[in-house]
Amino acid sequence: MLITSFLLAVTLHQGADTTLAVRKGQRLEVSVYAGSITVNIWNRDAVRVQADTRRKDHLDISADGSTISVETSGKWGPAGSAAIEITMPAWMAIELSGVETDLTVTGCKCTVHGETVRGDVTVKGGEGNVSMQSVEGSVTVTDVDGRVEAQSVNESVTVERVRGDLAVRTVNGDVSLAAITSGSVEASTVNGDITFDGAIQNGGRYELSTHQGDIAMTMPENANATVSVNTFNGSFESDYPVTLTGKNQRRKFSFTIGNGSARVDLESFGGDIRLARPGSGTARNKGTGEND
Amino acid sequence: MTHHTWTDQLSEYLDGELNATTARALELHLAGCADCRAVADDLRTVSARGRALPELPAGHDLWPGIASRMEAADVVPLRPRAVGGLFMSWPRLAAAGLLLGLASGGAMYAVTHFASRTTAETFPSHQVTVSTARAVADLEMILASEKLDSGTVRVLTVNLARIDSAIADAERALAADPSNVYVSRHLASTARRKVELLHLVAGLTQSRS
Repeated sequence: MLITSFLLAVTLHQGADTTLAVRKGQRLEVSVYAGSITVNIWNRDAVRVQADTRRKDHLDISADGSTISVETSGKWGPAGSAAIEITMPAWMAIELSGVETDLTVTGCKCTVHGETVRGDVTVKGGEGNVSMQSVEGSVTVTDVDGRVEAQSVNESVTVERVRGDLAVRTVNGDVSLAAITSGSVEASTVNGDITFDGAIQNGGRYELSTHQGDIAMTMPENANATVSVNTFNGSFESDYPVTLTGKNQRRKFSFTIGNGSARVDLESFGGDIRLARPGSGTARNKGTGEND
Repeated sequence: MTHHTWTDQLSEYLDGELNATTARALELHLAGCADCRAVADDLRTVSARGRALPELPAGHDLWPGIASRMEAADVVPLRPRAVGGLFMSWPRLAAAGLLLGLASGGAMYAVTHFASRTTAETFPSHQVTVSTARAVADLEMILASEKLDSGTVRVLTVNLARIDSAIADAERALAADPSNVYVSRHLASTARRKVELLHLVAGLTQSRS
């Protein structure tokens, strides 16, 4: 079934498979109380919605000139678990929300925003601004060109092969950043480790901060950075020969690599901080002597 | 620069501690960014109110009460509830929002207060304790008022307690080393993290009401 989506309100039932024609500028909102939302792209100016819902639940689709909304609802309240598959054009901005809902988005080239309470979040490929968060689930973003904001509360956040500004945080979990190409990185956790492996751009800003955990940064040999290290109870070690400046050289100091163009702040209140060369192994597990 | 970067400097800007170049750049950004301008206005208001507040010590340690309730909490199935999850009625949401605003204001006062300091001073640690304790109490009210899924409540409560613990660590460290700029900044950023978590919860409840 192909229908236009410019002014629409329909209710569908179990096993729905509907395709709506869309036009540039329209955005898509999908809300599923429990289950999963999976988004893929195709080369058509149309949105296909495939829904596997409980028998008595509804799939409500509404649209106006700017927004298409897809939402599950139950007869007496929130719907039960549903698997919603969306296929849409890459240019379309999308906003996903759920409670016990896993979110998976692949290949979008526009703004992607998603939040869930008890589900995992995965974004694979694409371009544009990505903003995703989960309270109890993990957040994973890979192969994206664009600004990425990724947040969890009680799980880890993993970002790999991203080109663009990064803002990543969690409270109780590790932050893992790998193969990053970015001039602006902010990563923090309260109780967890942080690892960074990526390019250090001239003039870039890199801030890694944890309260109770280790920090391991793998820095390229040709990097130009002014590195500031702060810890209260931890220690510092480096693969690079560095000359330290600062009053308390064991726990609070800075040094320059190359011409010092980028600014790197590494802060762990209670953990160890390590600066590693590429290929030197798992930095956080390496136990060579301190550099002070 | 990101919005986050600009807003991080607002406290120093309002305290007149930014250098002229950075201050001018920030003013240019504020002129064209309604969001950051609103944050700046809020900070001015909060700072003014904060200065008028008396400094009160925390009444008691909240953790034992939280811990006992965590131990006693029953796991309530999420799905069968007709109006469960993070749904809130508008009146309750409004009340919770008001409380959260007050709590955030208190915590933000502490954040801006600490963030603006970079010199060797002894920090009155009870200011953070009061602010965050109030914030925790408010969040508990929000959570309890709508009987959220107990698993989610537990996760949020435990993580708020983790942040509290980090704040306490930083306070003790600062007491031992009052001139440590890193620790004072860390204390401020950890308090800010608590406010952000509260805002996250409020945002989730609001979006589903």
